[in-house]
Order: sequence, then C-alpha cells, then structure tokens
Amino acid sequence: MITRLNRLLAGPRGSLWGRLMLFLLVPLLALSAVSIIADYRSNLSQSNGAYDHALTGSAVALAALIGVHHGELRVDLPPSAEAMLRIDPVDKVYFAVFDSAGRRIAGDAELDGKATEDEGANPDFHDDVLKGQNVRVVTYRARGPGGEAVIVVAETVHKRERAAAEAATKTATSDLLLIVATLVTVFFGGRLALAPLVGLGNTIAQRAPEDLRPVPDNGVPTEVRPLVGAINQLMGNLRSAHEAQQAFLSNAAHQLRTPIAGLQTQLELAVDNLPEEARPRMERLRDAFRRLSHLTHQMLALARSSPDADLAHEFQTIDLARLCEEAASEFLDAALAKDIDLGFETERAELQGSPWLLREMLSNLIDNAIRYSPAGGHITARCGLAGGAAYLEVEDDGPGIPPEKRPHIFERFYRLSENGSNGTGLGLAIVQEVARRHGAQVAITTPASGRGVCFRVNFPERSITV
Amino acid sequence: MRILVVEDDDTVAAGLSEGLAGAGFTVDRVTAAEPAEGALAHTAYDLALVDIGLPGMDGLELIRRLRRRGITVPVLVLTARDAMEDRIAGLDLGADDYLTKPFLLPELLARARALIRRSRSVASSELELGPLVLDLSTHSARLGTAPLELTGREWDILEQLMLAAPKVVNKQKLVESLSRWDNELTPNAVEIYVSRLRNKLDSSAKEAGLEGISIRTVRGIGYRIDDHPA
Repeated sequence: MITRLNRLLAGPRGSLWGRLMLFLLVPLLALSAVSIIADYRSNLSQSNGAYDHALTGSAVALAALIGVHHGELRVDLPPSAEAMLRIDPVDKVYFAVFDSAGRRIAGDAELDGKATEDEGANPDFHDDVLKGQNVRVVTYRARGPGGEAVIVVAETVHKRERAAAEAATKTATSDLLLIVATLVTVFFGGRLALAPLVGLGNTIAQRAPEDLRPVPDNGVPTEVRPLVGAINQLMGNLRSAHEAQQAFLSNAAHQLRTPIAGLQTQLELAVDNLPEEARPRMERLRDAFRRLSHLTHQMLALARSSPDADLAHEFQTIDLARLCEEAASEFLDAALAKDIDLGFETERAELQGSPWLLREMLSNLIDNAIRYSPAGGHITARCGLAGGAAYLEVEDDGPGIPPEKRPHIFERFYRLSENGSNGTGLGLAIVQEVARRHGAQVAITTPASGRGVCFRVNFPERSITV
Repeated sequence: MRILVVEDDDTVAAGLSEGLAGAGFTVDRVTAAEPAEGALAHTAYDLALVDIGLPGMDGLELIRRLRRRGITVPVLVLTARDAMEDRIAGLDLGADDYLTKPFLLPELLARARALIRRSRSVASSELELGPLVLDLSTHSARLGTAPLELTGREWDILEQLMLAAPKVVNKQKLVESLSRWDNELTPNAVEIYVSRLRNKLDSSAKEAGLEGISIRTVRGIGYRIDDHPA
C-alpha cells in the first residue's frame, strides 16, 4: 500500500521537491481549514456571549415594566420605550410577554410558543427560526408580586454572523500567510539543506570517465552516506574489473609474443632455405605473419595506452629530440628500402611522459608516413618548443588526406584506402590515445607546399619541467 | 665467434640457433639461468642472448650474478614484456642492449654483431665492420685487402661510426666528443671529413674488388655506417 503510494508520488519524474511540497502543503491546508472552522465557531460563541447579554438586558428592561392591575399582569410599555427596544440598524427585534398561564399579554404574536420550558436556566437561550430567518431567542422568567411572567425577546443573528465572519477572515488571512511563509522557508531551507547532495552530484558528474577512484565521503551528510557507499562499491567493482582486464592484456602480451617470435624466426629462415620456385608462397606467408605480428603489437599498445591503464609510475622526463634520434636508427632502413628521404629538425623539448608510449606514438607517425608515401618521397619529423609548450610533428609529401576523411582517421581500424600499404588501421588511434594520456592535442594540417599531410602533437605547457 | 642462447622456448631457441649459425656463429643453448651461469663462467663466449622470462631464476637475476662475478661477456636481452622497468633494470644491471619479441633476424644479427664488435675492440684492439678493419694498436685501416690511408680526424670519425653501427650517430655529439682543447671541430668540418671518408672508402672498395661500405646521412641527425652498398 505504502509502496504503491510511493510509486504514485514518485511517478516517472519523481522529485524529492515535489514530494516534500506535497507532503507539507496538503496537511498544512487541511490543518488551517480545521483551524479556520474552529476559530469561526469559537468566535461565534464568543460574540454570542456579548450579544446575548444585550438581549437579556432588553428582557430585564421589559420585566421592569410589568405591573399588576386588578390582579392581572400588565405591561406598561409606552411607544417611546417600544421604539427603543426595537431600534437596531441591522437586526430585527421581536419581543413578547406571557403570563404564567402562557397567555401573551404584550408583544409580537410571532413569538407565541417560542418560550422554552423552565429547566433551571434563567435567562435561557436558544436558536430558532422566525419568518425564515435565523434568530437568537432569550426566555426570561421574572417573578413579581403578581406571579411569574415569561419574557421572550428574539433578534435576527446578522450582527453575530458578521462579527464571527470578520474574525474568521482575520484568522484565515493570518493562517494563509503562515502557510506561505512556511512554504517559502521550506523551499529555500530545503535548497540549502540539499546543497551537499547537489554538490556531490556535480563532483561525480565532472569526473573524467576513467577516474574510478572512490568518491570522498567527508563533508557528505549522514543521510547520503549510504548512497555514496553504494556508489563507491560500484566504483570498486568497476576498478577491479578494469585492473583484471589490464592484467589479462599484459599477460596476453607476454604470452603471445614468445610464440610469435618463434614462428616469425622460423618463417624467415624457411624463406632463405627454399629453392627459388617455392619462395613466393613462403614469402607471402612470412609477410602475412609480419602483419599479424604488427597487428598484435598495435593492439597491445592500444590496450596499454587505454584510459584505464595505470601509467603514473611510468612517467618521467623525456626529451623528444632523443626520441627522434632513436627513431632515426629504427626507421632508416625502412625509409631506404622505399627510397624515401627521412629527415629530422629537432630541438630540445622536454616533458613528463611515458617513454614507451611516446616512442610508440612517434613510431606510428613515421611508420604511417613511410607506408603511405610513394617512393622518392620526403618525410620530416620535427620537435621543439612553441610558446613554452612541446610539440612533435611528422610531415610528408605523399598523397595527403582529403578533408572529409580527416575526422575519421583516428577511429580504430579506419583505413584510408582499401588496398595496399598493409596498415592495421590502428596506428593513428594509438597516436590519439597516447596524446590524450599526455593531455596533448593532435592537429592535422596540409604542409605549405600544398602536398602531403602533417600530423602535429601539441603538448600542454604544464608538462614541461625546467 | 661463440654465442650462448639462454631461452626456454624451443621454437624461439631453434630459430635463433639456426639463424646465428647461418651467419657464421657457433651457438650453444641452455634453457635456464643456472646452467647459463656455469657455462658463461667456464667458457669464453663472445655474446650471451638472454631471455628475461626464464623459469626459476629470471634473466635479470642471471645478469646481476654474472656482473657480480666479474664476467664481462656482452649481453643482449630478449624480452616479451615491454614495460620500461624491465628495460631500464636490464641495462642498469649490465645488459648491453635489448630487443623486444617478436624481432626480425637481421635486426638481431646486426645488434649481436655490434655488441661483439664493441667488446672485441677493447679485447683485441681490432674494430671490424664487414670487410672494414681498424687496427686500434697500429692505427692502420684496411678494406678487404686494400689499405686505407686516413688522417687523424677521419680515423676518429670512422671509429665512432663503427662503434655505434647499426645506430645513427648524432652529428652534434660527434662534434662534442671529437673536439679537443687545441682543436675545435665544427659541424661543417665534420661534413667535409665524412665526404672525404666516403671517397676513400669507395676507392679502396674498388681496389679490393668489394661492394663497399657506405656512410649514410640522416638529415638533421647525423650519420650511419653500413657494411652494404648504398
């Protein structure tokens, strides 16, 4: 039942605010309705007391006019006195005097039978209806020398109702003001009270996707702690899943490389030992295997540069110029084999980074340039400082990359051309990932000559250590 | 020349043995670090090829022990792990070079030859690159059978290039290492010396009927000497 109510209240867009306001507003309105009714009634009885007193005064005044004439009761009511009695700007006044036998000896016929029985109370009041109007009636028994007289005075209740309504309006006004004040207070107070929750939400929302550290629960309100605890448990689960995945990848790398090395060496030896006519098949096999080997390496590099890989312990001061020098030794043969002029323009450019990943980045940029440049092409790798920030770029004068394809080239397994060049489609994805892990941006431009393409990696200024 | 292969994987070890044997080396193989330590202590090997991921004692520990015992055999480390720690630790402990699996045989042979060349130049005072031989004690050079007449600077540069091969030698570092108090070397001078060296190597190669030795320029970095023609 409560669950259903909850679900109903929460709804698809359930809001704590909605619930809070609903649960406050409805009871408050009900309470003030009860209060207004109660106040009206108490006002009515309070004003009844005052007006009843005035009504009794009229009855007592009438009693004073009763005399005995020839053994019978008589009311000596001059017209001026009657006018005094009846004069009232709002209410109509009725009166009548009855003797002990119940005969009316003076006054209005409308009051015949309206006297109450003697039940001890004197004067005795009751409510009644005369000519379709609500009236207040007082029955006063006066005992004089000529016996008992019953005086009945009645008046319509307009004055009383008006007074009660006025009082009730005042109460209702102050009640409503109180409700509004309460709601305003709750609204702003609630905001203030819920501010830590909003702050917590912002903290979590602003996190980098790979940041799986626990959410700090200091300064978090007691009520929200269980929620933070649950979030942190989830974070912990995700973290250990990622760690397991990383460990698996690292192991897989280790386990894959040795058999690949064995197979590759055997294939290379087999090619050399075969008679000329049997070579082409084995060479195709060897080349295919080199691609497989390269692809395996690329995928492992991608896994190692992924956002959830823990690199912090690998970071150290690197000079990009030294990386370029190493790359010169590594790629000279590949460039010579394609008659490509591989050159460097390096200046000292130090930054904090993972040497292994930065080497992978540069290797992939140069490897790509060699793969996609035609024989006789020129490739230049540059590094240095621009405005205090390190940069690394590799420029070629090959076929270039059409502007419409540039947004896609960092996607994994995206290939510019369907055939040839034997690329894995992972090189630039690795470049992008490594750049990201170093807070760097990769820009693709067309060199001033209008031919080829230039990949430039701009590192952030803060990564420089002087 | 004798090489010890310390590798537990049979396929890799067989490939290495065959490849090295094909290149003219005498190859022995062990599958664990303990027998390797014994073999290297008792036999004068020219090079040890050591896999890091060995069963029992690992390759890094083997190198540490060898160096502690004063065994100076050049060590080329093979590793399937690319984590930096392994590489640095290996080189700090006395490994001379490393190669990540999978590797290409020609690359491995070039690295092995370079390590042997460097250690031999210390031991036998002869520096060899293919048919090119520098006799460090007599300060004489020859290419095959043809003598090579070199000036002091040409000799210095050739020695540096041969010691570094197959790596590219940074021109600026060449300038710095060959400058002396009384005789400052400039980058331009290096270019001139290299150009003269090329001419001398070419004419000696012609004289000896050889394919030749080439010094390649890597624009913006420096030079590399190759024992095969351009």
